Amino acid sequence: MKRLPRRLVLGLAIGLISACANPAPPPATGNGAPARGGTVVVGGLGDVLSWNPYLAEDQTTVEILSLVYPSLAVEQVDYQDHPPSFAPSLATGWEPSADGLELTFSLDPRARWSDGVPVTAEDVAFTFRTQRDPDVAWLGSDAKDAILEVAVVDAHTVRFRFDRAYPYQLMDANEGPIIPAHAWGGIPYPQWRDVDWGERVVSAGPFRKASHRPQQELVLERSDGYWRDGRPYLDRVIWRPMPSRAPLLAQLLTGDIDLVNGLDPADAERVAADPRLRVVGFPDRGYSQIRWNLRRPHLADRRVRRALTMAIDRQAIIDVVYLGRARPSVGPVISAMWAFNRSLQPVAFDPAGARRLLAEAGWIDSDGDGTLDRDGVELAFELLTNSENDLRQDICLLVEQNLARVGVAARPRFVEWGTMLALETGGDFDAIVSGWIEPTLIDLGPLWHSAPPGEPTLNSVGYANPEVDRLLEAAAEAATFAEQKPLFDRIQELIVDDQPYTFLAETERLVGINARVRGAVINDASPYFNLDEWYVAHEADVR
Amino acid sequence: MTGVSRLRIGGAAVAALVAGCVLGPLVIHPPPADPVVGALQPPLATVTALELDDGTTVVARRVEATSDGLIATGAGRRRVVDPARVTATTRHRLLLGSDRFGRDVLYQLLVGGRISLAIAALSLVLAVAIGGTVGVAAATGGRLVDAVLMRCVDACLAFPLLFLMILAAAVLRPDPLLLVLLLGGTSWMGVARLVRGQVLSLRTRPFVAAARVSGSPWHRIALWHYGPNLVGPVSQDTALRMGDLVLAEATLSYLGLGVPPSVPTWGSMVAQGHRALPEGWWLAVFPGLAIALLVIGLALLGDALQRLTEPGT
Amino acid sequence: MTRIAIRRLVTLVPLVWLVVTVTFLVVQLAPGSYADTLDHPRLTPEARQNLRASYGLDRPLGEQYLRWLAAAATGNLGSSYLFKEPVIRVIGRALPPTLLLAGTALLLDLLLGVLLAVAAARRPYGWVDRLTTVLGLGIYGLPSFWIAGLLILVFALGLGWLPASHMHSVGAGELSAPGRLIDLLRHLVLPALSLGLVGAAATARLLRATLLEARASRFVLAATARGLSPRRILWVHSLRPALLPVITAFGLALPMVFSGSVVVESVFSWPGMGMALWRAAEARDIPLVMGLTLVGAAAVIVGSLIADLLYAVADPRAREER
Repeated sequence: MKRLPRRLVLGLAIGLISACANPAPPPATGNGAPARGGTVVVGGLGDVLSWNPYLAEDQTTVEILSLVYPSLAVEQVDYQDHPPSFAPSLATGWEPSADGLELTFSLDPRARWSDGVPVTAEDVAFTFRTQRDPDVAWLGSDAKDAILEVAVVDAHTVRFRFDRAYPYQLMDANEGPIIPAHAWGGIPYPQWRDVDWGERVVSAGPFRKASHRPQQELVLERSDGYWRDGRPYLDRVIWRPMPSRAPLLAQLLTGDIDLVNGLDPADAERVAADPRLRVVGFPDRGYSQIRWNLRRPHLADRRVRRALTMAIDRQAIIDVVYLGRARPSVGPVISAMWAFNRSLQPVAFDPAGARRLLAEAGWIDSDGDGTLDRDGVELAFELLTNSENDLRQDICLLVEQNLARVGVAARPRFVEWGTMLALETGGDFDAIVSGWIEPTLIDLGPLWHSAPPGEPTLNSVGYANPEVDRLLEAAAEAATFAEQKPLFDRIQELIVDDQPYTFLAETERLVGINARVRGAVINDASPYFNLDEWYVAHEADVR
Repeated sequence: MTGVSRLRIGGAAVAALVAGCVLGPLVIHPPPADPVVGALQPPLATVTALELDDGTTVVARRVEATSDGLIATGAGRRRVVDPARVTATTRHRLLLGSDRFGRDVLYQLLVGGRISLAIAALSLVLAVAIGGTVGVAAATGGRLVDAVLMRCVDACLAFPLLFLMILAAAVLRPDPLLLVLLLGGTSWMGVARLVRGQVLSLRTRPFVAAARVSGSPWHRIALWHYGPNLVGPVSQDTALRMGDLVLAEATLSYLGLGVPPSVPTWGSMVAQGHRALPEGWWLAVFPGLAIALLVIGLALLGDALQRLTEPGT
Repeated sequence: MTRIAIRRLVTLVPLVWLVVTVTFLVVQLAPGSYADTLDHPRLTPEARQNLRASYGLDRPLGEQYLRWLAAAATGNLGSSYLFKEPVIRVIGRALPPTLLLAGTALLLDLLLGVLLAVAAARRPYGWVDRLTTVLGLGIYGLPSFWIAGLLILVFALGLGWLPASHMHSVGAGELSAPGRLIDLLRHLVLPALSLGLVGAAATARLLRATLLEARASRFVLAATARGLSPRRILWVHSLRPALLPVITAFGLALPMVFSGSVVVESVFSWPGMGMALWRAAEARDIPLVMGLTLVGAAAVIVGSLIADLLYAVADPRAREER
């Protein structure tokens, strides 16, 4: 065997590090004015795979490139009570037209590319052409479906025209960073996939590319020409890509890296125990669930699904698997989101009630073997998840234990990620433990609208409720958020009633950070949300 | 250590492991698993198991009677139990502690050992059978047979098995027999090369030459002249390979081909135990020791066999 | 012997072709494609389908295969889906670290293995023999990731002498040339030990067994009768024939120098071929998988050829009648 799973590789080391780490004095609280200079080293599992943001196909590349190329506006993390608002960035402001069909942006006249050329409306128009080009085939191009035209009004004014009035115009217009027309405009789109973009980076963010050794080290340095006063404070930000989680935690504990984005709960306990480090945790709009394949005869019955949910001790999952760093999940919209229906109640844990409900649905243990049956068929199914995710595997084992107590045989099966996706999209599964990250743009259609057979869809469980379909279509047509809210509320009620998923837990993103890094606002928009305002405490402050 | 003492020590180690795994689970009665407060009890811990009327069990190191009810504490968590709901109370000693789901590690180790040992041993038999046959055939079958067989061995070694396993995981349902076929069918190439090399050098020995000249049929030569002289080197190789196979089972489990995840095996216990090392060193250490003991025991047996079959002794 | 080598090299091409073709088939039949494994935040099912089409993954299997083969025949291995650059460049970047790491480990394996075996075989069942047996088995009985973890724990985290991962320190680019070399060597020690120690233990055991066997052979008896010194008998007369199985094992280990070790490279974040194959497999990056398989298969076959040639050199009898 040439291959061993990465999970197997988790070092003996990790466990014992906490035992040998030297206790250090707690970080000083006194923080003077942000100081210039210093380097922050970030460890992560990914790397920049393409320096062209429109050819990027993975999350890490998108996140890092958002620091190198400018955006019109920055989405704020204030979706709790209303849809997210935006703060100016490259655009100093924007104005909707009276008919709600146009949005006009004014660009910051001080903005410069790293080669000194001003950032202009022409760049914004070029970016839009790129986003829609079939040869570039940008993965996010559907965000621009409603935009008819991007017109250059003058060098620093640009107007977006939409095909209709709808609430997410600003979000859609802002999607994707602005790229340099003067540097890239001359390359025909059909050739883009053959270009070495690492050689052609012209940036306009607070940092610019200094050097990049793939899979080893990526250095961004302060961009001297950055147009916002005094920023950034840091000289350099270095990414150290790593193949597995084990070295990430080890290096955070030894101080070789300053930040790890996305710790496991158990790792977070170890980081939190180290006085030189701190853990920042926040709900990341992610939730875990069991997806029931509604095409399976025994899972098609709503009573059976509700009984299964009742039999699963979801609080124990939060305690044992997430070590308390999660909240109960109720329905298809996470509870921190403005669109959440606050009158919903989670299904209570009630094994005795689950047994009664199953008996009502005809499932009783008639042959006395401990497993319920009906018409000679046992209530048994396979519970699938992916091997890469330790937490989901733990959930599977706990669910197996829970369900065995009410006479339901769940057989966990762990397969590799690509295999699981193929089984899920092919409908070749009984139940899957998995998770979604909910976008701030609330669109329940892809997951819950019934899809005609054969069409690509995220509705892998085969959920089809005509009333939900109708409400989803109405919500998509709504012109304002206020019109959408009651529709969303009703949709959530119906879905929770049907239990096509057993909603398990709303998870937290856990970031481990060295206490010497100051000024960092880390949230679910991006771990590098305000990187230009980070600074490093003087050695004397920390020790 | 003389050959005989190696035989005794090695034999004793292997016999103890096998006997423990076969008989142990019949003798030990572990408490039901409680993942909340019964998890991660250290070795030698004594726990109290409270069986409740709804069929669940609370297993805790400490149970205190207070005015609020019974307070069970363990694994950094506590649970309050209404004494009226307790239907039975039992006490258990966890010799090797409990795992993250509150399962008795000793029991898991012994049950898992049955599967791990059976699968590794059967795959090994398969590998030695295929590898030995191919090796002897290549060494004695003439130039063309040798060339064809050894190029097949090369091709099998060169093929990235990983993808075959991924494909198998998607197309086939996991099954212990499938596991044996996959493990045995992918680890015979080393044996084949080893055996071929040994036989090639044995062929020129006087006793083999004498047998060939005196007209002994090839199968007699293979059985009586090559066979005994191959026992030493092959059993050496086998001892080391056995440890690999126990761990390789865990790799196949990762791809979804192994035994069901809720059934413990030594390989998966080592892998899972590594994750939880800071919380419980005993989870990885005991299955690791079991594998090491197995390898050492078999290797000592191999040494002894080598010594007992050494020509001229 | 030259004739053997030439004959074997002729079979190289069809053999590699066979391996590569079967691999192509298996990878294509394995579930999921590159487009399915992506985690881009805005990836809709429609976008996935478009992506599949833009990489030509929706074309018939035969067409994809012929296209790849035709290009590969002219030396063009295509572009990696994952790394967005030519496969040749990805391999060119991953090969040197692996050559360095696995080459060092293999050297360590042989040197240490031979020394230990000879020390043990001088007085079979004496205390040196017992000690090396127990130590060797102890090392071999442990999974390789334990050994790696133990080394990191003691030398990197405990004593702080050596770095625990990567090939270079942060900011090593600014060091002088000798400084960079020392930095590299310091990073090399622990992964090379993790990879080499297990091999050395195995080599030592194998060699000890065959050394004991060789002691009883007629060469050695004759040499003893001629009154040669025991040292000379051990190092010259016994060792040479006893090395045969070691050479077989060496031939089997040689491909590792080109294909790397996933476990060790992963634990130490070493950017070699093992990691590249792992990532290519996870991402279903077919061009990269095929390129790496091509290199790996050629290495196995050439390795086996080299082992056989060395075998012929070490044992004149193997040349008789073959």
